[in-house]
Amino acid sequence: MPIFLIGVSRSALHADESRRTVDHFTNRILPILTDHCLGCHEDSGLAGLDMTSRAGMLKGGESGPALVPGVPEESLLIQAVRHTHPQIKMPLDEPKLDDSEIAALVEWVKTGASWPTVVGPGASREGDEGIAQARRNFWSLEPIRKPSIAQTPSNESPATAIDAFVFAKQIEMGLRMGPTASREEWLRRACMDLIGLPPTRRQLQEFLTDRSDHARKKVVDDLLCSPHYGERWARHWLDVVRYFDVSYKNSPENIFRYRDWVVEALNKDMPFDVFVKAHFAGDLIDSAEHETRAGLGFHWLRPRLREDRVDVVTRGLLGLTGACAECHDHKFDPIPTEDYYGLLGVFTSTEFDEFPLASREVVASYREKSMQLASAKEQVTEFIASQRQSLEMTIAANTGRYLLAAREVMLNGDPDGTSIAARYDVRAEILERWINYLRLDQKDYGFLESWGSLTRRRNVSERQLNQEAINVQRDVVRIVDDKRKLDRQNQQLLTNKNNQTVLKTLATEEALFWQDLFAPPYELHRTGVLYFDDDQIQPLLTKAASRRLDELREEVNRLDARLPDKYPFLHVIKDKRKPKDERVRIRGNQQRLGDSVPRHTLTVLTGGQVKPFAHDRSGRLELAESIVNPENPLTARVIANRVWAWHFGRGLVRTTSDFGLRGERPTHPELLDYLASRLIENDWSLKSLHREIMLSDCYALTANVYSTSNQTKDPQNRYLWRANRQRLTAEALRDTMLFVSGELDTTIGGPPLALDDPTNYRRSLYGIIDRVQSDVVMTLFDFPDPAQSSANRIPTNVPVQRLFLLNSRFVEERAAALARRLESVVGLNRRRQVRLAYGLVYSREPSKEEVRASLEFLASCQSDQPLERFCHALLISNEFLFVN
Amino acid sequence: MRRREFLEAMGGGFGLLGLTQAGIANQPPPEMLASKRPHFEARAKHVIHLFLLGGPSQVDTFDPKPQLNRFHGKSPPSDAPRSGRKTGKLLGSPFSFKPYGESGLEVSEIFSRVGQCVDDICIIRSMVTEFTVHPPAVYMMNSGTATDDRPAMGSWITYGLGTENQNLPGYIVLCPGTPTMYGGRLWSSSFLPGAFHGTHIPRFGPGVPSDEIIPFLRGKNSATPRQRKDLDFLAQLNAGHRERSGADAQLDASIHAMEAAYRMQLEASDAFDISSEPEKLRSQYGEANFGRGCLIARRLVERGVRCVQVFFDRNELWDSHTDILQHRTLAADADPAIATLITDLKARGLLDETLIVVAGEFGRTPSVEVGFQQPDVQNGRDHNPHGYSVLLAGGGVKGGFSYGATDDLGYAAVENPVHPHDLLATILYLMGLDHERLTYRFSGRNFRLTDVGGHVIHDIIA
Repeated sequence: MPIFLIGVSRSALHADESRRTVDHFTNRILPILTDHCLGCHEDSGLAGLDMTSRAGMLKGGESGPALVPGVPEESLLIQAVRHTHPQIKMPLDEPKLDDSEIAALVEWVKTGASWPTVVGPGASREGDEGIAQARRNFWSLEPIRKPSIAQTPSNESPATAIDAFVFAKQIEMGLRMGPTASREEWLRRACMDLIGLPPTRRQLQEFLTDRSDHARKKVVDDLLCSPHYGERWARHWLDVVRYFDVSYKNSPENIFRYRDWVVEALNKDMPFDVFVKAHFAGDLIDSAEHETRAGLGFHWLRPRLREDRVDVVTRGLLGLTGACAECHDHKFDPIPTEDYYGLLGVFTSTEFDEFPLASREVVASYREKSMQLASAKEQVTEFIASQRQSLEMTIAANTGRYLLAAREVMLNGDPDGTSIAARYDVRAEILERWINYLRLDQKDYGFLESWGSLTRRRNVSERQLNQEAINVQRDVVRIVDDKRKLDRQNQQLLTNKNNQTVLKTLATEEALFWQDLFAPPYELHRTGVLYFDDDQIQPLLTKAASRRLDELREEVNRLDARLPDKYPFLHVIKDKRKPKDERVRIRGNQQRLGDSVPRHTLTVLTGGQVKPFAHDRSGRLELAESIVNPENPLTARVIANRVWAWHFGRGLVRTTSDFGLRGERPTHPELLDYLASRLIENDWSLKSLHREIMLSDCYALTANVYSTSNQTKDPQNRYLWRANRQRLTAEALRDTMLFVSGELDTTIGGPPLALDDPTNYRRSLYGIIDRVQSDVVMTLFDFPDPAQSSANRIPTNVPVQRLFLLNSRFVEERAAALARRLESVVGLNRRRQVRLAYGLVYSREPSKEEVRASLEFLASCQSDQPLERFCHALLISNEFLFVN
Repeated sequence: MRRREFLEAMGGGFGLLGLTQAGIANQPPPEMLASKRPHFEARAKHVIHLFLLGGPSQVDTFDPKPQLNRFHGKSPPSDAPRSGRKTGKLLGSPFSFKPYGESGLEVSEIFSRVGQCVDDICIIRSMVTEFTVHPPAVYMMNSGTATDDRPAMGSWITYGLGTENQNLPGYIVLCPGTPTMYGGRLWSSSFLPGAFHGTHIPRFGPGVPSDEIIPFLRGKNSATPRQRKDLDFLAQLNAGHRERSGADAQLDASIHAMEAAYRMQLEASDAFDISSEPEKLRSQYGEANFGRGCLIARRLVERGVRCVQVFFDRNELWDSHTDILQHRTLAADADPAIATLITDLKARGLLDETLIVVAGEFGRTPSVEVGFQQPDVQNGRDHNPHGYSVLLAGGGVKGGFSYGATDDLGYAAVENPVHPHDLLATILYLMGLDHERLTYRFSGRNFRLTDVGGHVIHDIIA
């Protein structure tokens, strides 16, 4: 007996929904429809069947209704996918669906084919009020509501609100929260989390002896006050905004100021909403309290060849995959394609600019001097070019003599090199080049053919040689002369050159011969054999010309010497004079333009309606405001989740940049809303969030797997019954090795430096990030692609990384430095060395057994660098590489 | 659990579905490069991808056009495709073609050695791409997309299949230096886990010691008793840590990776050490970078490396806009290297399981380039995306076979056009992978090497 009838009202559907139904539909049924059906039964609606909605399926197409709710056997959909229908077998031209997929569909139809009031492609279109409204009821789009603290059994008293939520969930899942980590482990974890460096020995000592209730709080507060906090957490942020220093041509040379600004903003605990606004309108909101202009550097992180700011802004700040809407309405989330272009228009209504950090006078003076230098350089180039022209003619006119001289050298040798040249009254440098040329095999054209065969003959008279030499010379002179005439004609054409311009050249053989002799650098890095570049030409000039060249070069040097370094400046943006709306590109194709779209923020944030930004401005400030508006359900959740993920190794929403339908659901939705509310309550202070997280009990759990029952029920530790052991990031690995060896240079800020420079002891944050040629070691340790917004780093453990750890000079040097450090602090006593090494590298005391084993190893090394080897082993061990 | 069981347990389940199920999506298995079963039976176990950067001219190499020579110097037909730069009259090929082998396929004189192996080669003469400039065309051939932000073919292949020899990287790129325009993005794993990033070998030519070839491959004490002793102590440390920590797949992977690295020192050094190859064979491959690279590629696939790419050069040397005669100089290196690779693999019985691909990013115009970029010599050809040639050999491909055709003058594919996605789909197919099932979830949707296109070309498969 069917439970649901065709035509049942929407309110009945509402009444029946539970979160589980929604999840089942969206996680199980909708993907099947999307992957296997909608390709044909969506826009094109093959056979008249539209499968984008329940109504569409009930209506059916040419073959009748696709669905009879409650009766799978009579539903065309089921018959088609089971292949039991005589004609219709779906999906067409594809393998049959899996048994599990068919079973899911059958179950779905059997229980009434409930299509919850959420999602479905096309639902973002206006007109279908019910579905559009319903899509906005998706969990991440519902307003943030601070939940009441979860109830837990009265015999347990969670230390903090966070613990209450976590604990309540564990009880629900039948898990037992585990033991806490040791104090040493907690301290190392806290330090690595907040500043990306291990605790100092003093910090460790103080913490271990501080038995008060405030011990942890003190540590957290101290760490949050450290300037290294900003460095560690800036790097997290830079992953999201795809920061880089160097790319193809024209790298933004001052972009490091954006990076330094992020460090500083975090250190000052700049409210996150101000921080975000700075990225869009840092010039407009700049104040004494919050310096924000440098945040505009974000726009210069855009790849040169690709406009990706809509992607980075929507995924990075809002957790929505807005870039999907570049080609079509988002298939799952309420983002029509117009929204993409509404945002795009904001960005394309701005242009890049520089903001000098120097006085107007300094700037003007620099620009003037810079132009003078450029002009002086141009004079040198032009002078040389004209001299080169004359030289070419001179060489051509002496071809005969060169050929004869060359022949003599090639026949008889010339140990001196210059005496033959002198005798023929030719330049030795030019003669040498002629000789090299004549030694080559000339296959493709005949100007030197008769000369070649003549010179190979034994009995040849001087008269014959001279005659042939003159012949070749005549050819060369003619060719040079003709080329010059053509060049003059071409010059006219080149002044107005365009894609249709056709230039004149010599006939092919002449052209190739000329190229062989005189061409400036051309394909395959060749040049004409008699071409002298700017550095080679001077000795061949007349005295007067040479003097003139010296004068011109001196002028360049003089101007260059007095040109100061370019003034410091910030990379910023400004509005174009005429902000412009973008037109929809149908299927993302720039040649197929649709309607113009007023600049606006995502309609899902403005009640489903387009609310255009002011016409006369790009709209970037308004866009920023829509993002950090406290009523925006996404931004606070997204950043709170990121912070959680960067602490715990995994977010409450695992897909930290996708809070849409295809992303994952939060494991602890109330906790997430709690954190997001708290963030806003605390004026968007990230440090307050760190404090609350790090002072919870669940932050202090052991990372060890102590319970097989828990491990079986929740192997991925989604419910936080223990801590997640995390491998050091690439930066943390390098920084920590330098720290432990005592070599780390903790200077903050400044232009980036090469990471593979062995004298660079700065933190890895300051390493040059090159989009084209990424640093080998950083990439090995999973540094993300700097041309894309990175949601999560995926740490890997592969052999080539271990080669670095085993054999690199870098690690070897750190081990040696650590060994020296041990010796300088505790002398030569092995036991004390071992204890100190454990303290520095692992931040703990070694056990008796560990001491024994270490001493045994040291002794067995005898005199072959025992301490370095011992230190090396510690530095590449798992306990060091992974943070408990 | 014994190591092999562990490897199989970890390796078996992941490759097949490309990790698309929600919940375990994007979770890297601990032994990421463990050899995995393909989707279906594979014809090839390895692929050697030889890339001739710059766009070799089809009418001067593998696509004979006697009509072009006949009409040399005449204006092109009015319906000839427009070129990017200004081109003028038809330019016949200065190189002659002749038939080779039993199949009688015609190949240009500058590739006469390749001609001699033509019975093992499938020539696709009908490649078509959309792009008239290098970067998007190169990325399309290499990563299935016009932009530089997707994983390379080698990354996808090792993601799907792992590699057979855990003591060597699974995806190795031999490119002398770093390509100027592309950098490491050409072999980037992009959003795939970093384990699938290509291992770039920038210096491997004559004169480079074999143990300097892979970064960090050898230190002062590599593979000495001293190192073994140090590693034993390290193993002790790690074992103690492991015991205290309980089950943790990461720690296990870390331990295994260290053991593999130790073995890699020996095995990789050996792989790149060509001094043991007979001198005659070495000179047959050629002493330039490309020849050396091809020889090393053979050694690598012999040792179980899944995917090797050899770039002719880091610059677009085949980009003969000015003078097509340059192709002769380039082919002087390319021809013997390719031919020797094919015959060498065949002699060792490895050709059947090794797919060789020889490709550029597009072809060149049958008409001569005469625009303002060529003021001195006009004897070259502009880019031509409408029809170009690609060679395949080994790995289940028909030999002595040509697929597709361009028009009489060599402008455009008119019979069986093949898009780079089709080529990539076919390569994956021959490796036992369904290009539509080898996906990875990123930024909210599933991605694959062939983007949203690609059809396997079954006609070229033996």
